[in-house]
Amino acid sequence: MIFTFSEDYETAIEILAKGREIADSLRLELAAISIIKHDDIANTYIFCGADKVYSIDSELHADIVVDCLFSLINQHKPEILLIGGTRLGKEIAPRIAQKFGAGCVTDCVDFSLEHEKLMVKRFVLGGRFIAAQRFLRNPQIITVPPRRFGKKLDTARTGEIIKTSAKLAEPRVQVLEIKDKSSQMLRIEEADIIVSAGRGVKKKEDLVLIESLAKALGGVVGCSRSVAADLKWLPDEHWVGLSGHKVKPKLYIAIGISGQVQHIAGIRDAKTIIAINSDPNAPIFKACDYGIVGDLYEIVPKLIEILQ
Amino acid sequence: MDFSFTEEQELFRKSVREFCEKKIAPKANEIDEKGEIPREVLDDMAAFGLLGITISQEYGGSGADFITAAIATEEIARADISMAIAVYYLVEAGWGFLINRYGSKKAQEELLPDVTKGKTFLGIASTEAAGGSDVAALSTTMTKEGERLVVNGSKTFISGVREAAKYGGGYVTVVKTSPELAHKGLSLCYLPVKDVPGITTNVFKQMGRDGISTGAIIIKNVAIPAHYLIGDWNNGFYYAMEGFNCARPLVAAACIGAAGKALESGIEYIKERRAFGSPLAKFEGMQFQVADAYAKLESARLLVYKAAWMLDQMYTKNRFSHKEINKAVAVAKLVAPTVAFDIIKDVLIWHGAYGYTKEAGLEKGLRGVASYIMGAEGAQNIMKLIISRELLGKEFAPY
Amino acid sequence: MDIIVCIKQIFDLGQIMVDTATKHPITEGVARKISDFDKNALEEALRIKEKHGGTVLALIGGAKEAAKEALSMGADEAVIYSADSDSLGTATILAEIIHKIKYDLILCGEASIDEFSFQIGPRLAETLGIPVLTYVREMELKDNEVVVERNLENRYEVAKARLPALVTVAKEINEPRIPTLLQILDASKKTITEVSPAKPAAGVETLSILAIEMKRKEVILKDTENLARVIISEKS
Repeated sequence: MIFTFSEDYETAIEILAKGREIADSLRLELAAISIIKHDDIANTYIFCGADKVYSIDSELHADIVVDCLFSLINQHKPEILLIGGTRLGKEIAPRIAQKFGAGCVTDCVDFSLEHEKLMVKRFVLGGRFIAAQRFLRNPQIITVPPRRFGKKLDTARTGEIIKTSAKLAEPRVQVLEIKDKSSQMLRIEEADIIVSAGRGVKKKEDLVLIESLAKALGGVVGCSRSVAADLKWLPDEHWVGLSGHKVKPKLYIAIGISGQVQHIAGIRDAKTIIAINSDPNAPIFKACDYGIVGDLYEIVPKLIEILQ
Repeated sequence: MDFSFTEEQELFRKSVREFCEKKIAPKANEIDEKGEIPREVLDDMAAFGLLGITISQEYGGSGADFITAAIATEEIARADISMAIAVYYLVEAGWGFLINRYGSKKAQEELLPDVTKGKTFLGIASTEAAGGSDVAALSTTMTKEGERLVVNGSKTFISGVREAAKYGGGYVTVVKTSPELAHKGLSLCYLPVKDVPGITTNVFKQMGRDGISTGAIIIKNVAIPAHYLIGDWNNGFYYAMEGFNCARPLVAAACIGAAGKALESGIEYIKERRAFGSPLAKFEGMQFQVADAYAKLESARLLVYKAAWMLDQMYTKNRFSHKEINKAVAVAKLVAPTVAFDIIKDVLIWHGAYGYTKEAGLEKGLRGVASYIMGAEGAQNIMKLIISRELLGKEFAPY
Repeated sequence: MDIIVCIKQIFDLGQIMVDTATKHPITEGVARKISDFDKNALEEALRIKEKHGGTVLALIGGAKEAAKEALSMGADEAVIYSADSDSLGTATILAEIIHKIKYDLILCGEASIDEFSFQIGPRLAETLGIPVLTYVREMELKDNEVVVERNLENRYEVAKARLPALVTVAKEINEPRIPTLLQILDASKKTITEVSPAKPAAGVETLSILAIEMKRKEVILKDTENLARVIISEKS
């Protein structure tokens, strides 16, 4: 049997799609575990690939999730446990693994089967390398990053919903208060998503376009040398490049940046680089993963609209 | 023979590098542009124990040996290749050590804690308008008048005059006490410069290391207390030479620090910069230059640490004569600035037009290192004279 | 307040080169350092000690040089062990060592910056049977309880647990101190104990570690819709 769990709805159905593929290859049953108050999503889990749903009516709390999964694993002895790689998921997965003396691979980005055995891959050594790993025993516990894999919906699917309850001990960690995140000080070296402006931006006021895109993506604003040093439209902490800040985001979007060598060197460690520039011969197009040739004043507003 | 640093020295280098990357490097361009080291940088350096690092712990220093002091110098100059901060740091490390060794107890207690706290600046005032290298030609005098000493004359090309006048502090000053005895008639004293009647200072516009001032001190009937005499009367020449021997390896360390950083950034650059379809680093012509630069840098670096090591051996184990030290220090001081200048110049050229811009951040290194070719802390030709005097014998000394 | 800080010594990742033939990482001659967030954990422990008194023990997977660094920062003593295992193995070793030590609080970095697997803290707490508070950006001790602010996806969560507890800290919790020369020299008087626990069972075996091809794709997209799709898939 394969178990899936994520408290995040989107992630839960993504790992169900992945779990379905693995379950089919290994001819295993796929069961989703749902821990929520007033469960109304169990059916969706079946549409998204589950054969069974174990539904537990409970508050969401790491200690409770660990207890529930522990007792379900003890009952059903699943071979594989797929957990959504949210912050909660990455806390509970190793905790459960430790209870069973089992291995756990977090942030798994690739699955394959070799001789009916699961092989998983994850980034290591600062993301510049990928490690292939295999489990030495069951349960094989894996967390999957959100938004990594697609989802599948088939409303014709049927399955079984099992309401269950676990004996829950009092959580040892008590939550006192939840606070919303507000904007924080810029540390561009640590940003995951950077949207950067170059000389293609005509006026300082137009930087608002770049800012809106960054906001839509949950990223921060960067800029080229000329925007920071010559025009002084943005303070130095936004300056990306060898003389500015060397950055290593997952996603770097260079807008109206021609791609001088100093700039390129500063973004070399970015995972994915996207360029928007009106000059098809701009060097940035030789240094990006995805590029689009065109007027940033047309492309960026449209992009913001789609992304929102 | 063992070329390794101790575990503590390795760890200290790591610490200083981290400190410099956080507290100095981000401000290096600003320091050169504004021509001033921000107060908070000096405060941070003092809190981290860098200022007056060779001064003993009882006065708030770290009692560092010269290898350790050179490690810090190298790292500071890596972070600010204009050399401004390195100069501030190394004159205090070199001449603070001298006061700590030969100054009166009263002067040490009075002066050194403020140096290590970063409150005041301590420098060296030797050079005069008529020349710096020819000590016999020095004309600044000091005479005894009752309980006090009175100094008259002027000093020029003095590092940190604005800083000393602003923050307080003063100079280890070379003065004539028995003019008829030539170099055997010299003494050393501590000369305060802030708000002292009879002292005027002015600042020169220089080619480089703009963050620290250089200027002149005019001294007219300046009375100082007797305990400001450093060491014995008329023995100043020997103390001064010893002080220069302490400061010069640090000067050389600063040069290789700046050059080492420049070379690293140059290597990074030629790996990225493409021409005719491949990175510059793939061209054999570039590789030869890289190898040459590295070989020169390493040779200079060995000389620096050998000189520092010999000093430490002399002070802790009584090994090596002054003559041997003189020679080793002069070799390091002769080689390092020239090597550093050449390396930074080459790296600048690798960068093409970009290298000529201020943003590339290299030209300030070239300007800074140049000061040590011109003669700060001892002219290059004087180094050669020291070396030949030791090699040929005193009887062949031209002067 | 007796605090144990779990520390991992890792390779300086920036120095790791790739063998172009095999795509394997070249780690020979690469300097090692204390993993960044573990340094934050140590700093936090030192601040707690400065405020509440007590001791700080650095428990280090790695070599003596990392122990020297931890002691220079201000840890009272260091215990080092060989760190050649997976998360299961490492947590088991740590638990075995910690069982023999008296403690009120254990601090870990939330993840090591080479592996980023986020496992050791939660696993260790589970084995020791103590509460775990993960992703902590602020913490305070009050009457035998630890109160923390956790950094979660879109919110901060204030939570508390009774001591003894384990806390994993985020980078933002503090700015680790840099040891001065005198602190480095003083540290050589402190004790470093080396322990060599039996190699525990691992849960996972690593088959290969290969460099990711860094060549940029250079795909030119035709329209903004496509671009948006790419952005959405790449941002996760």
